[in-house]
This record gives sequence, structure tokens and C-alpha cells, in this order.
Amino acid sequence: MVGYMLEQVLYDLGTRRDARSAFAQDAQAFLARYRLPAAAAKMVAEFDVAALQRAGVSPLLTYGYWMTNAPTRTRAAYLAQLRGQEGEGAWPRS
Amino acid sequence: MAKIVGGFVMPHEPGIFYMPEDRWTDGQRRVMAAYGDIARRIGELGATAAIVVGADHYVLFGPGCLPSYLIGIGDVSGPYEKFAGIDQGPIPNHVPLAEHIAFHGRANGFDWAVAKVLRVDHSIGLPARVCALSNPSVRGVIPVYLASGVEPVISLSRAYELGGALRRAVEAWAGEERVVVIGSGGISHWVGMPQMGRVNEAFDRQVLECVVRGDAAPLLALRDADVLEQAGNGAFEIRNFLCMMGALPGRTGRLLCYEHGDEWVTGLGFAEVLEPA
Repeated sequence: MVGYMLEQVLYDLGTRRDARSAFAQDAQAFLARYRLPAAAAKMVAEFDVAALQRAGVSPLLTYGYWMTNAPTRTRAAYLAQLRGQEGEGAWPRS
Repeated sequence: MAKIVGGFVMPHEPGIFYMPEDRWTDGQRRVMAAYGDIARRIGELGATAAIVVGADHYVLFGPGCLPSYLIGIGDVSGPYEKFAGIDQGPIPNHVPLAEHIAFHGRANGFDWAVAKVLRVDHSIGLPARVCALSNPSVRGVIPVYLASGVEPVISLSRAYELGGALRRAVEAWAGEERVVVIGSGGISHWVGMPQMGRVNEAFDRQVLECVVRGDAAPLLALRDADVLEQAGNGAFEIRNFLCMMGALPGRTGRLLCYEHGDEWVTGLGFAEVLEPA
């Protein structure tokens, strides 16, 4: 199950400092440990959180991985990336 | 005989505790006052132990092992997150009572997963530190994690039944403990989802009305798909409220506070459920 293994990758990146360091140093080498299909590895390397969620990854993990690994670790940047592929401003506050 | 003397629901939104005091809004002040009210009530009840029911946020437990319900029976510490003024060191557990709950459950149809060593997150660490251990009468906090954040989640009915198992186990304990049960969780919130930041006040108030009326039936009738649609994945945490309600079945209570705002990502509900003396 690619989605489940993706969850393992993001869980490791969210909770393990050694994983974060390895990912930052050489993302492709780090991701090779998990034997992901190329398309799945690309989602992680490119912080494509919308695609990761479509692949079945828990939003709790996509958010945690973003906030501990992404170049811009803010909620606003995360939501911009996530919403960018679903329509900007699609979710007004109720 | 040990007994349950009260129940509470409260949020564990980290943003509340990250906010420096010089930036507090009026809403933040009301929220902090509500935590204070619960702490004071736990003291007035003479509680000697607190069972805090929380949710893992896919940090403590990974894809390799996701327990449906787990009790900490040994060394406890946390929260692992840093909050200004909140200790992160050891949390006193009531080890004999926690072990008893685990084994009483296993003998009666509730196969608890156990943690012999557990570092809790904010969902248990904040209520434990802010509301329970601030009272000198409270000698131990027993942590209970439900699968109420990470899917697959425990069913609503099983969470409620587990509360009943907690009550029966406490009442089967020979000691003279006075136990409060805290259901720790946000109400509507969309964690990591595109709607993050949205709340559904109508849903939140319906949940809190059920808590205050001691009426679990409308909550138990909810379908997860509807909860997700109306109130987000974070609202799966109402299981923690239901577990508390199961431990105080049919007991009524009072709303202490409800807030939502741009400061936070969830509806924040505080209520007390009263156990007749």
C-alpha cells in the first residue's frame, strides 16, 4: 500500500530529527530507503501535500511534515500549497 | 470504594498556550478563566486522581502500531511540546489504579493496550498540568489515549462503552480514591485539511448541549462521514467527550465556556458534568 508507506515516510520526517537531517541533505537518497514508486517519492520531495492527501495520507501527517521540513514552515504557506490545487479561497470561515 | 466524583470536557488547542500573555484577546482571557474554573472545581471535589482521555495526533503512535485505546500504567511524562510555563518532566501516575483499570477491563471485555512508559502530548499533558496537578489533592493522573485523531478511529459507541468500563473498574477498586474524568478535545476543526481555520459553531454547541444534558444518544447516532463533512477530522475527538460521558452516564452538567476565533483553529468548549453526591 503506497499510501501507508507514505504515511511512514511522513511520520518519520515529522518525528525523527535524524530523518529530517537526512532528507534535507539528500532527499532522493533518503526516500530510496522506503522503496516508493517514483511518483510517490516526487510528492514527498516536492512537498505536494494535496497529492499526498489524495494518495490517502492523513492530513495530520501532511501538516506535521510541512511544519517540520518545508522551506516555509507556516500554516499560511501550507494552506496555500494545499488549496492551490483545489481553488484559492474555496473554504471561507463559517 | 473508589468513586467517580465528576467529569469535564475541555480543549487542548496548542495555540492557547503558545500565545504570550501580552497578546491575549478577551476570548483568550475567558478561555484561560475556564481552565481555572475547572482546576478549582477539581479541587473542590477533593479529587485524588484524574483520568485524562486524549487523542494522539499521529506523533506518539506511528503507522507501525495504532492502538484503539491505550492506558498508561507506568511512568508518564510530558507534554513533549514546549509551552511557556508548562513543566515537561514526570507526571505522577496512579500506577496501582491504572494497572487495575487495565486488568479489570481485560477481564470484562475491554482489551486495553498498555504503555509501561509514556511521554504524553498536549492533549493529555495540558489538562493534567493546568487543571489536575495544580491541585495538591490530586496525587495521580492516569492517561488514556483513544484513536480519535488518526484513522481508523474507534467507534463512537465503543468510546462511550469504554467510559462505562472505566467507571466499573474505578468502583471495583478497594481504595478510597475520588476520581475525575476529563475528556480532552477540540470540537469542530479541520486539522491539516484545506478548511483548516474554519469552525462550525452550530455543531459545537449541539455537542456541548448533549454533554450538559447528559444525553449521549444524538452523538452516538452521528456517522463519521457526517462529522467529517460538518465539523472536520478534528471533531472525531468528540469520542473523548463520549468516553467521559460513558463514565458518568446520564449525568447532567453546565457549560462553562465556548469560544472560537482567529486565535485558534477549533471550537473551544468547556463543561462540567456533575456526579450526585
